[in-house]
Amino acid sequence: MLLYSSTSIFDEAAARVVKEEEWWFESEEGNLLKWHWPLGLIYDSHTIAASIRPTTSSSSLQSVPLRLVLHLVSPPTEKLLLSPSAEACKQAFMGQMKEADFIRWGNTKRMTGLRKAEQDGLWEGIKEHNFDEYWRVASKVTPTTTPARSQSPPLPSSTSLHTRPPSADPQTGNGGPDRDGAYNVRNIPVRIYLPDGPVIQDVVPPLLDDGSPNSLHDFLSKNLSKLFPASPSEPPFHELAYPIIQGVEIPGDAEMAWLGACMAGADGWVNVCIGIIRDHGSRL
Amino acid sequence: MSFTTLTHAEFEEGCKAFISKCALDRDPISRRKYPPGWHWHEHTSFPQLGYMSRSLSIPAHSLCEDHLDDETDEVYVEVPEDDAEAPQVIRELVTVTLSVVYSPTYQVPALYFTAHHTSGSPLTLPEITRLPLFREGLFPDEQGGSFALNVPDSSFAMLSQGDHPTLGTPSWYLHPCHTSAVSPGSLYWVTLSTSLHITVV
Repeated sequence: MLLYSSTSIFDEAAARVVKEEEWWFESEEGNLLKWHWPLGLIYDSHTIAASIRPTTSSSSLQSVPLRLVLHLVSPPTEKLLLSPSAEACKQAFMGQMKEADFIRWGNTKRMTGLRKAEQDGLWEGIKEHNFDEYWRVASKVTPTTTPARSQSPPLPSSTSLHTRPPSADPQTGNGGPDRDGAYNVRNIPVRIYLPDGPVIQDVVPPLLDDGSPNSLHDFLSKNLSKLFPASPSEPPFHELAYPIIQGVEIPGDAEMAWLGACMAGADGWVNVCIGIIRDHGSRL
Repeated sequence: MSFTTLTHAEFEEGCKAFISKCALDRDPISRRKYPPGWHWHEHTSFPQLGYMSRSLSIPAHSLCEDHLDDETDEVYVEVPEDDAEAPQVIRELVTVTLSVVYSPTYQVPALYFTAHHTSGSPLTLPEITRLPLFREGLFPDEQGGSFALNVPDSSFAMLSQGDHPTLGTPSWYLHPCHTSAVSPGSLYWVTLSTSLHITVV
């Protein structure tokens, strides 16, 4: 995803010699950037990496540009996927979208039901930074939210293509107009990224066994019980960590189903990055 | 596409049962079914990331004259008797690490693997498709891609690159839709079924 903006900085003679598939990026701090990750995830990952760096002072936890080092040769193949071409980026992206589609509905009919031109349109929209072109197709496969169904706040009117007014959308359950509803998904495509740890993926249903909406806090306390204790009456009695999605710190009562419809990345995945709170209690 | 799903706990139980069978059985036929070398790996902090893996050395591509030694997994090549002067075919060996992991997306076992030349450099996609791990004729003609291998009639790529779910290192990933497409003649391959049994084909 980073490769497109870089090609314009070389003059033609130089560009003929360098091979883009040999390029790779590091952050200024020496962290390797995974080329198949969305840029927003790379940025949030950079933010949380700063939260555990001993040299980071509280003032530098502000939002700062991500400074990159571009290498032109010898990609570390023990750490990076191979052959990052434009086509590879597209295949990686489409693979993630289909997987998200499968997690939501147990099949990929919504994605495979798109014409080839539409599927290509998703990627073209991203490549050309054209949200409208992307959303024209993505709105057909992304879950919808209806304010009447949940406790969450209604979406702002700029996304009115994606919501219907409560009066026009009675609660009909499966098969009705709410067939694509965020709370009708089987599971939400979510991954958790730690500052220095593996990527965690779990089965995340929209509702808990008792019928209540699965919240971000429920989800995090299940998967990271030491960082997010289930109840405030359990030790350590103060916050240890915070979740960031799309650069925003998200409150624990946010509902996973709503996040899956409104805070997912372009590939359909909700990427939760966990920052660590240090003793002086400051954070992003 | 339908799957019988497993929980991670069931997956772990199945893997450990398989590994203990590998430790017990010694007759050649059983060893084909339960080859040595599979180990269970835990993640230090996250039990749901446990997986099993096996490393082996195999030829870069198969020849029909190959004999596979059950004891050592080594391959030796027949030299034709009528041409004793002919040079032996020297074939490169490739180091393959197979990992059977739990896929939280499909809730079934999935296969991740790496393949490296003895120099340490990773195999390219065309080289991967020539490994004797796979059933002959399985892959369509070269699609010109280097990231993933797509096949007709499937919305998911059969083989693609991805980060190993526990190690985070680059791997090749066989999509669970396609794990039945394994080589029946290969000693090295693991067929992943969605029951508790993980059998070697």
